Amino acid sequence: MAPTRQAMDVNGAEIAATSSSVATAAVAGALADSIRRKSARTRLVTLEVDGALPAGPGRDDSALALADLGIPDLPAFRFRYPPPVACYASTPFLLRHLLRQGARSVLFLKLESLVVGDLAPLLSRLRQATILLTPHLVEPLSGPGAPEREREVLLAGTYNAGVVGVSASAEAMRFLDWWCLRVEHGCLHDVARGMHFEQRWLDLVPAYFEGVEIVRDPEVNVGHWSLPERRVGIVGDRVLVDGREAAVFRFSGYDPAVPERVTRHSSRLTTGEIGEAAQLFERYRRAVAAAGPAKAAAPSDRFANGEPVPPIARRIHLELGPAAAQFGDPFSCDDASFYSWLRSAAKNHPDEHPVVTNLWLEIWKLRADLRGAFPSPLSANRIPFVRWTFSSGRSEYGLTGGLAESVARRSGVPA
Amino acid sequence: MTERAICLTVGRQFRAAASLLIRSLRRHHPEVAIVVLASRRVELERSIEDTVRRIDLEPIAQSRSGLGFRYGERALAIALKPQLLLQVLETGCSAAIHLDADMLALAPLDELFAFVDRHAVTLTPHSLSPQPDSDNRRELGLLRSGVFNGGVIGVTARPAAVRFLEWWRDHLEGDCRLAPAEGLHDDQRWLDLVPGAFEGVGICRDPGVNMAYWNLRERGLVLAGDGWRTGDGGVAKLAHFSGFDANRPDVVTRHDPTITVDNLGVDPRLFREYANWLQQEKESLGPAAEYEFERFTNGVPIPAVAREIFHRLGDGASVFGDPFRTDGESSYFDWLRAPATADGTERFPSRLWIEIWNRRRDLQIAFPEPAGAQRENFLHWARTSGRTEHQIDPVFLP
Repeated sequence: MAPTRQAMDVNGAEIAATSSSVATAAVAGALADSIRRKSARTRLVTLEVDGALPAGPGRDDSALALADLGIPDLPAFRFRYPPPVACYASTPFLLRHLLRQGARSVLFLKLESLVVGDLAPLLSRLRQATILLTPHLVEPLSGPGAPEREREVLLAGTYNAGVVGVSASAEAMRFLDWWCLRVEHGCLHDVARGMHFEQRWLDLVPAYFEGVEIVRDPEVNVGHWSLPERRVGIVGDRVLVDGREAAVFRFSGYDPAVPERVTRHSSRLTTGEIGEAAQLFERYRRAVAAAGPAKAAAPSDRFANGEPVPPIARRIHLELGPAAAQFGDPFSCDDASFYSWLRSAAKNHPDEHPVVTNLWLEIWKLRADLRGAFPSPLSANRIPFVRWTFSSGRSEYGLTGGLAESVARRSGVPA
Repeated sequence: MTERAICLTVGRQFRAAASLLIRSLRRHHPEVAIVVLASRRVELERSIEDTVRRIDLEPIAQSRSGLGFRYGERALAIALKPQLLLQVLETGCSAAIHLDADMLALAPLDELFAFVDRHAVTLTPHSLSPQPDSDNRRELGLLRSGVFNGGVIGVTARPAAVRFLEWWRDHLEGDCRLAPAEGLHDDQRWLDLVPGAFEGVGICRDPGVNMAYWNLRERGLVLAGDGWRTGDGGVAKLAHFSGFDANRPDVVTRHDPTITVDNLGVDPRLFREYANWLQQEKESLGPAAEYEFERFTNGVPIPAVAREIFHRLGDGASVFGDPFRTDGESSYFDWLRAPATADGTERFPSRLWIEIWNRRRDLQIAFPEPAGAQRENFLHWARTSGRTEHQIDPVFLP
């Protein structure tokens, strides 16, 4: 657990905030340095979700750890959300913490961003509102593929969670209490169910809360979703979008190792197709490189017996919602643990082989295709369902550890 | 011109409901123009016909990208909402509100019109307050179906409203179906983009407007001395009986059978009275004529999946000419019945059934090789369950 490095006095302050894991320290460093250069009066608080980040230019303001934020049942939160997702899921907790500490307003800036202009105008807008949202699209798209791109936005969320503001008010706290409640068990990528990490929940905000400012200015939050439509111009050290001084530029999904690709989220655009915006991507690539070498990803979490936690185990824990609390520490492997429950025969299972474990029954519940193909997985379709777990299921979920072995041993069906 | 209009799109199923809505509107707003878009085959009661302006659906459906074939009756009525509003604005109306036919005006709508007047586009959210507990199912339902309800859409004669309506129309003509996993929910999900993508959008947060099963628990509904009120004492103005079945008045909506008049916590009289009124209207209207675009020219009903396949073919569908046609060469009807491979191998089920297989992951798992090892099992499924599930005429059976 990373200790709180420094407690900044945020009382009455208008501040920016971001969150990062150790693996993305260089990206966080680039953002911090850009704020220092372009919006020097804006102080930045960084949430370090899995350990202390190295100090760097602009990064000496303040840092917080997950443990500072009052997240209920933090071990389970960590189990459900590996570091990159923990950055998303912790956003409302971070904002709420900072308002509780007395901040006048907080502007959250997600990683993979550069501040390219003074944030003061945006902070001024925030002063007039309780909640500030930035839509992905400030006008309809046009040209080939426009409806499909707009549909992608509908699946990802109308508002971009990369720039979100709150100002001290009862309404903002009401919003943050609700957003915390939602992301506690609902920060995952399952667009068919209406989830896109922390972001899709924001769609409901203008309907639910008073004083929501929807910032439709094209220069505020520019990313791959609005390129090449928004015209980016570089004039000396200034960045103009549609002729107006830009504030925040997003590089969501950009990989400095593949510099010609604008984002890994879509193959639609190369940096050769976005005009002068390409210079910003190159500037971002250099800024990340200058902030430090890429860190090796922290080892993925493991159960107490050393077995890596497969993503599907995190997902099932998440789907159980508050009921998962019955298992206590989710990393434990003792008899009453979540791990043991996954390996146990499903409830009401007939007393015969092959055995369908809770792991596979929960996967079956998650998938409409399996429910259609094997309507009765514990009775009439049990044998073909178990056969599917061997022929396809184990490889689909990358189950090679004890969870998979237990199925082989217990089911009585040769692998 | 400062005329205000209320617009309705009325399919056969909603004739009785539309009559009730029009009567309720007339009671409070004799001065407002009511414009009804409906098939020539959809008759309203004479006393109501005389008070509304009719626009025939057929010429619009035929002229706009073959919508009459691509969409079934329900989707067609939904997809034409923006076109209706555009046509009404073109006649010089200063403000227009489209209402779903299964609504009822409980009080004057002056405040709603005043709100609409102040904005280019007016939207009404399904819900106005967050769910206070950790159960996120209801809100995920909203995220899949849309934050705003498509039952009440207000527009004014401003350029931004026209831009919105043209954009919405083009999207609905391109893809108006229920596919939440793909970001589609008939007309509704597109509305989520509107507050960001267009200027002058008003979000009407009046709890008395667009009261329906999805928000009655949070808003309340009581009968006071002078009319219907929301739980906080405001005037209940516009009720929406989405999914209501007059034969089962205690089940509030077919969309969620767990919601009943009793457990909704509102005064049950409105639902029960509405059911009685609907029954009376239905009896006086008599049976409806068949849907204009129901069948191929040989009389075979067009399966919904055949409409979808045609829609997906896009420009490629033009080789068939008139898709309703069944005589002559290269008809779409014959194409659906032909084996699904280019070499015409008889072992292959027809294109219609292979398209159904292509759309269903459960079938792909159960019958991985529908022209091979599982051919007979797949064909058996098609002749038994598949035929019923997809409402396929025997002429298409393998």
